[in-house]
Order: sequence, then C-alpha cells, then structure tokens
Amino acid sequence: MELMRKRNLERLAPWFVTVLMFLIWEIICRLGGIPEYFLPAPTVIFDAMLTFHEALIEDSLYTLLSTSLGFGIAVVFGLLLGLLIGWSKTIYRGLYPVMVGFNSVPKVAVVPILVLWFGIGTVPAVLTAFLISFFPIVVNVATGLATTEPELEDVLRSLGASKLDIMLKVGIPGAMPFFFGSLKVAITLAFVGAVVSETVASNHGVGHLMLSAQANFEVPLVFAGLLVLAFEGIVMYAIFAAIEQRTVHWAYRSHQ
Amino acid sequence: MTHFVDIDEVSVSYTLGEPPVLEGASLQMSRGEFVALVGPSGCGKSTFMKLMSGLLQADQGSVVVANQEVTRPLGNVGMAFQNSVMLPWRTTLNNLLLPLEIVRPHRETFRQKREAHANKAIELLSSVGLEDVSEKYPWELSGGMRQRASLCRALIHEPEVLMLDEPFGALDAFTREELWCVLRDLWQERKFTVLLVTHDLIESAFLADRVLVMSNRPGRVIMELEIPFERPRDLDIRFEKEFVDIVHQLRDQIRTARAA
Repeated sequence: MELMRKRNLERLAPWFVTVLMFLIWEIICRLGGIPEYFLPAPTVIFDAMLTFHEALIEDSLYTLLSTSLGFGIAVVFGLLLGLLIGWSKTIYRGLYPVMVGFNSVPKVAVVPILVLWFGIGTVPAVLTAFLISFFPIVVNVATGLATTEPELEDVLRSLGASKLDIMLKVGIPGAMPFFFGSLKVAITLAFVGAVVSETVASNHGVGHLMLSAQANFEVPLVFAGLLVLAFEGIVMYAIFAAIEQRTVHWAYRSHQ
Repeated sequence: MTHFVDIDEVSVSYTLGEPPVLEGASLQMSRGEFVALVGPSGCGKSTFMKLMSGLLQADQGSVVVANQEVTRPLGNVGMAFQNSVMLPWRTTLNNLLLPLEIVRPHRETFRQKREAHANKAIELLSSVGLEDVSEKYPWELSGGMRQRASLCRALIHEPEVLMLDEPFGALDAFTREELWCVLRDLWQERKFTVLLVTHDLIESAFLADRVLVMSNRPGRVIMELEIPFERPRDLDIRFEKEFVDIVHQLRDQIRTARAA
C-alpha cells in the first residue's frame, strides 16, 4: 500500500512540478504587475497560442522536418564514423583533434557560411541540425566499441575470429546502448540547430516565427513559440528514450 | 616421445628494454592430462595460456600443440576466465553457441545445424546442473551459475585443450567447491587436456594430475609435482595427511620463488 502510493507519487511528480511552475509564473505576473511586453503570464501565452495556432502548427511542422532530416543524416554519418574510429586506432588518433576542434566551433557562426553556399531556407537548417548533432553520436559509438572486454576478445580470437567477426558479434551489439543513449541527446541538439538556423536565415519555422513576432512586438507569441519548442523537445526526447529502453533493455537490468 | 603440448625454451617480452615475462620457459603436457600452473602474481602464468592458444607469438623458442607449430589461433582451444565474460544481450543458450558461430568448420554450417547445436548445448548445461537457465540472460544468473555456463561455452566446440585462468577466483568458498566437482566430473567424462592457472594450492592439488610451480619474473617452471591420488577424488581428500603434505610442499616452493 505504502509502496503503491510512493510509486504513484513518483509517476505524478513531473506533471505536478510542471503545473506548479506555471502557477508560480502566473501568480508572479499577476501580483507583481509585470507588463505583458516584458513577461506575459502563462494564460496570456496560451491565449496567443490559440489565436495563432495555424501559424504555430505550420511552422513547428516545418522545424520538425528540418530537424528530422538533419538528425537522420547525423545518425547515419555518426554511426559510420563512430564505427570507423572504433575500428582503427590510427583513424581515431588522426580524426580526434579535428573533430574536437570542429565541435568547439559555435554552430551559429557556421550558419552564415551555409547561407552563402546554399541560400536562405531549409538547407542551412537541415545542415546546422546535422552538424550540431552528429558529434555525440560519433563519440558514443566509438566509446562503446572501446569498452569491449579484452578477455572476450581473447576467447573469440583463440577460436580464430577475425577482427570483423569480433566487431559484428561483440563490438557493435555492445556499443548499442551507447548509440541509443546518444540519440536522445542528439535529437534535442538537432532541434536547437534547426531553430538557430531558422532564426538567422529562414522564412519558415518556429525560429523565424519568433523572430518576426519579436519584430512586431507580439511578445506573447514569442513566448508561445518558446513553449512549443520546449514541448516538441520533450516529446522527441521521450520518443528516443523509449526506443532506447526497448532496444537495449539488457543494459538497464540494474534499474528494474 | 612427443608430447601433446610441447612448449620449449620460450622467451616473451611485451615491451622492449624491460625484463622478459618468460625466459627459457618449458612446459610439456600429454594428451588428456590435467595440469595446474601456480606461482607468484605477475610471473607469466597467463602468458603461457596465450602462447598455447596462439594469441601471442614467442620471441624465442617453439610452441607445438598436437604436432603442429602454433603460429596463429587454431580454434581447438576453449578458454574461461575469472570473469565469466558473457554477452549480456544474448541468452545463456546463445552465449554457449557463440564459439560455434566462429570456429571452423562449424561456422559454415551453423545455420543449418542450429537445432542440433542447441540440443547439445542444453545437454551440456544440464550436465553442470543448469537445466532451466538456457533462456535466461547472464545477468539473471548468480556468479556460480555464470561461471558454470562459461565453462560450458569453453567446451561446446569440443576443444582438445581447455585453458582456465583462475576460473573460480571470484566465487565464494562453497560455490568454488561445487565447481571444483563440476570440473572434475566434466574432465572425468571427456578427458580433455587442461591447463589451469590458479593461486589456490588446494584447488591445484585437488584437480590436477601435475602441478607446476613458476618462478618470479622472468618466469619459468622451477618445480613440478605429480599428484598421486586416485581419481575421481572426493572433496574430503583435502583433509588427509598426504594431501596436506603436498600442499605444504607447494607452499614452501612458492615462498622460495617469491623470495628469489
């Protein structure tokens, strides 16, 4: 009985915290007399959401498309590069500094270059999403491959296994928890990338919507855009966390 | 007479400039013999195993197993370690089948013969008292069960040589005794050639036909002792005077080796 109540409480906690946050926000705005153009109350934002729901839905679908495309490329590319790096120490040594350097460049600084090459619109958004999200995938896949137990490698090698055998039987399956774990991080990063690019150089997407709302001094709509972004981010994270749980359940044994 | 395993005057060093791990080390085993290798830590016991399995090439000397010079992994060995190294994403049964997916000539026909292999694996599991775990994942098993399964995996492809690197080191005393008997019975039935690396002198004297003592680094075999007791041996043999004397003798040898 006691345990059940504790479990229920645990399940409800996220909803409770979210509602409480909005409630405090609302109270502060109302009692503090904070002007709408500075920080609109949640009710005002929800109202703006209703009013502009068509534009919001259209633009968020657009952002979602750019994010998904960029993320898709990042998954394929990140997985391949990660396997390559995990395969050979020389490739690892050669590529690592370049990749770290690349990852250190703020991606918003790359957007103007992408615009220069591909013009304003979807392509820079997709590419920014890709560029920002492939790194964690590469690093995680390579790390996963590096965690292969040496004894297990000895067992397989003593049986006459080739490097490819070891990779296929042990390395890649063992790296899957790392890979799927990186996807939920990568998808949120891809989302950030797409929005950043839209904000700087696009005529579509939530990023662009927020920028034009700001220019028109539609402050509640700016915040409405933010909330939509946060919501989509949570949904995508949850989807990939669920995929992770299903595919590599054996890696979660200790939590069950 | 030619030995089944003949390691002759081998020297191995891992890094240049450092003293070698093995220097002029020799080891002979007959077919079906159970040999235990004891010695101070870091004396190169595991290096012997790597040489025999072909994972490592000697800088000097020769390694011959079954009349064949070992220059690369041959696949006719089984290995088990202190850590059971099972694949957590495979069931126990599928973990057991792993060697058959790799080793020749089984790998080419693995798919066609999968069912036969699975039956054989389940039979092997029952012979070590693991009838009901074939569909369980390794992390659902206790340490002792995992180690039994690991022994089965080392034997599934019917290797000629079984190499065990402190396979019972991480188990509690009771489970360890149980597994000694499991290994004893498996060997009694199948008579494979065993090289058991261990720190446990009682274990070595209980299980082996012959115990070899190694020196400090650079390692070589400095003494060997035939264990005369009849087989199959009972666990209680450990408390008989002759057995205790042999363990004492081994102990003294190792103490001398460590001091040297």
